[in-house]
Amino acid sequence: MKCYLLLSVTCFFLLTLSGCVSPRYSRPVYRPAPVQSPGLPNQEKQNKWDSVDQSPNQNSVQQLPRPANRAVATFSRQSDRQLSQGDFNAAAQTLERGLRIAPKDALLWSKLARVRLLQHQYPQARSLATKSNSLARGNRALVQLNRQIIEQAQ
Amino acid sequence: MKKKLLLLGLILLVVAGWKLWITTVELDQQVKSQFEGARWEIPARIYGRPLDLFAGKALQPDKLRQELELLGYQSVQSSSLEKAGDYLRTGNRFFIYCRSFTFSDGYQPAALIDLSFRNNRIATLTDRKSGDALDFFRLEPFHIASIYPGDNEDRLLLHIKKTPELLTKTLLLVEDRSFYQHLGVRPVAILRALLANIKAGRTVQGGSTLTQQLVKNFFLTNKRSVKRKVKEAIMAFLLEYHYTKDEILEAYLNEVYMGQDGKRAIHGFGMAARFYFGRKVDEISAPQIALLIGLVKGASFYNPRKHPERAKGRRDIILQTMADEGLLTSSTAQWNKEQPLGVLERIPSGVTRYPAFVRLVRDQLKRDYKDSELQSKGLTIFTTFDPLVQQTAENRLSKVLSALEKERKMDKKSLQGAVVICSADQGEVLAVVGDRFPGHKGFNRALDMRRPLGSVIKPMIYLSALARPDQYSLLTLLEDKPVSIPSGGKTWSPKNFDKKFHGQVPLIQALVHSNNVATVRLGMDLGLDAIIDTLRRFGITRAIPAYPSLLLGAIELPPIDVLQMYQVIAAGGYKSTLRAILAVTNQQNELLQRYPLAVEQAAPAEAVFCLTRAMQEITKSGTAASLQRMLPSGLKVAGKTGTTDDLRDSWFAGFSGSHVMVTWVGRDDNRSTGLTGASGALRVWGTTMAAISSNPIDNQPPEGIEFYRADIKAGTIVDNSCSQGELIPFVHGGQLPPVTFCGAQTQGRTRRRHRRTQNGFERALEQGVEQFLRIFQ
Repeated sequence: MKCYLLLSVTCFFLLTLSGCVSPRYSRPVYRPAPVQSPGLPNQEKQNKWDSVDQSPNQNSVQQLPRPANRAVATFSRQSDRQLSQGDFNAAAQTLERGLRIAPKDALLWSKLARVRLLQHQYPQARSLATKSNSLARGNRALVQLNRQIIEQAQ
Repeated sequence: MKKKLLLLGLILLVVAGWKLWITTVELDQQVKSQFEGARWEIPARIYGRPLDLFAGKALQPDKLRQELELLGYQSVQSSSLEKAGDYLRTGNRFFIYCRSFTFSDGYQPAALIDLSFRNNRIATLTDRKSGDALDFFRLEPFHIASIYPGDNEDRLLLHIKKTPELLTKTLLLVEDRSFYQHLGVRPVAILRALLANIKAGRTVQGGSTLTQQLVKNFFLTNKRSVKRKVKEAIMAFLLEYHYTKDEILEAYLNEVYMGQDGKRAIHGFGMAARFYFGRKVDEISAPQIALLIGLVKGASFYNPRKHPERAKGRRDIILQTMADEGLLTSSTAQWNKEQPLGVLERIPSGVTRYPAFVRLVRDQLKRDYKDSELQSKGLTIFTTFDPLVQQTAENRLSKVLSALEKERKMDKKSLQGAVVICSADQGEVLAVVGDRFPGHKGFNRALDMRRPLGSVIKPMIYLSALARPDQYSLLTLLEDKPVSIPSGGKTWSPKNFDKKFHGQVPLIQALVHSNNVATVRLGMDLGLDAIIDTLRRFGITRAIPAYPSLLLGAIELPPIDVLQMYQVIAAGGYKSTLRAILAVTNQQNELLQRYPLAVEQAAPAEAVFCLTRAMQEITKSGTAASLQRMLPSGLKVAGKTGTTDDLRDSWFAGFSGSHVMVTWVGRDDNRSTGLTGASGALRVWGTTMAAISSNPIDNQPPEGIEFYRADIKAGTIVDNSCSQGELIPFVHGGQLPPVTFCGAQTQGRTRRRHRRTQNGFERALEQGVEQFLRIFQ
């Protein structure tokens, strides 16, 4: 008998409480917190799940990703030189060579986006910057750089 | 009478003089018009990709050796590499004297490089001469094919300044010693030759200068007549009058006939060096020069492949002449005479060994160039072709088909197949195999065949669903119950492969086990227009029939189109239109056109990430689980099998982190093969993927993905307190499935997520209620 009484009180209590919850939900459901992404280094994990909006000062703290190897670094530097000389086509070609070696290098994609922006190829600049973001592994500095490209390419 | 004869003679002389003058003027115009500008129709040359070398690159030493052999490098035994085109291998170390090459982005000089391997990676790369570490080096690309002019003449243009002096000096020594002194003809020599020939009753001696030989080959026919001989002399004189000796000599070096390869005529020393020795003309040795010069007298008669003894006899005479005139020392000449001819056994054929890939190149070239330009302007076409990947694909296709025929007691050569491979992120086509006998130039199954796709299309349907994260996740339950769909006046009732219905199936499981009924129901819920829209965005430009059977792959497409679709998935939703050409340069190595990398987002990266997770599961526990036995451990791949009605077509399409590949196995008569996607095409795919250097899928989630532990079979996520469950990606803010606790039943029904709209109190309350329910369960 006591048991039934306890159950009735509990049900009443529950129904009362559930009325406090947003009326859109007919039944509250427990949901665990998401598990952190597998396979990311700690630093990157931390960055990844941080708030999206960051101030410029915070961004400047994090550096752009490093090239995967010396060959990629060489191409990256070479494209910078060509870009500074205004040789956009050569810079793009150099970056494409780099991407053949390191197709997941987000910085190379971003640099290619920058070249297309300077060539006034705006849809390509946006697409390449978005692609770079998808490979950025939460590197805020790079994401910010790509955002700037996307904004300028609008 | 005497006066009359004199007058007649005078008139005749004037008329003859006038006629000679007219003829000379006409010939002068002909000489100038033909000799100015482009003198020859130069075939376009198509090259594959250069092999990139850098420290850290994954490359098996044997693959490097294979590449060097393809490029015609010659293995030497001594450590003193003398000429570009030589290499020495000692275990895992290579010394390579790389040839110079002009790429579309510039000239790379010849260099002697020292390269070592460790664990199938390049460990060190240094410039042998300077001792400096090299960041990067590329071997010259492999010549795949040429596009010949109508007369089938093949030549590589030589410039006189870049031609070895030993070659020109020996040539003049043998063919025309007074070349730099005469005016195009040598009357005394002609007279002497005439007398000698009359005396012998046949042609035993020639009196032609090099200029006359050039005139005969370049302007005239081989017809023997006095009139032609006069024309030849006049033209030789005119040629000498208008052009310098070096220009004439250069033209001769490029024009002279040096051999035959089927329909292809080999002209000039540049092509002859390639044809006989697989080397550039500045890489050939003295005895090789002597052999080539010997061919000038009669390329067929002294053909070193057909008549090696004759050719050697002629070569040795020329070597002796070189020694007599001080171009070689006697001892060197003697040593050279003892050397074998050194002619390549395998003729570098003018007929391409890769017709399927070349077809793709020509199809793409047609958009920008006329046939006549390709056949005559000496263009260089740089492509994405990877000979190592191509050869692996050809080899594996052939082996697997033979093995299948044997195992299943089929008629020999009854099966056919196709393989296409591209790079994942750039869509650069690396290999195209359109026939199990890849040299065959016939029907190109990779590009021209249209076959129903079967289940290979399913990822496009599931992606269309996952692109709506507010409605679908990988764990959304799909109905796998009998369904009847009116279509074309009839009722269509699709069945599963196992002829069973499975009730409610989580979306990921429906794809992993290639469930037909759940897929059709899902597709119909999404709407055919949505599926067609996805296919369009993924690069399918052909007509797509809007029938429900489209959902089970009733659409007929060639493998190359399937490759394009899967490239988008492999690249995280970014489409790069498949490219076979990178750049085109002209005869002066000036860049005419680039075909740049371009990407376009065709699907949300988050949806593609979730789809890729499911497709990886297919290769682990689904219809393609047998791949695990074929691939090296750690090589994560994703893919989908496809089988059509009556087992007519066997497909497999999938990707690693760096390569996308589509394989098809079937019969040309469209009869049943008895093979499913898993038992046929999958084997070709797996064995090929295992043999090429490929990277695993990265599994790096894009922004907007969060993971939950899940019970895939039940289609639920599990509480974090549970240690079991697999990590499943969900789109942030999208639908979440019900939650189960360790050993407990599912809690609640699938609903829209609402976390972002909740305040802290609501969340705490919800969790409290859940805990309460758990206690009373």
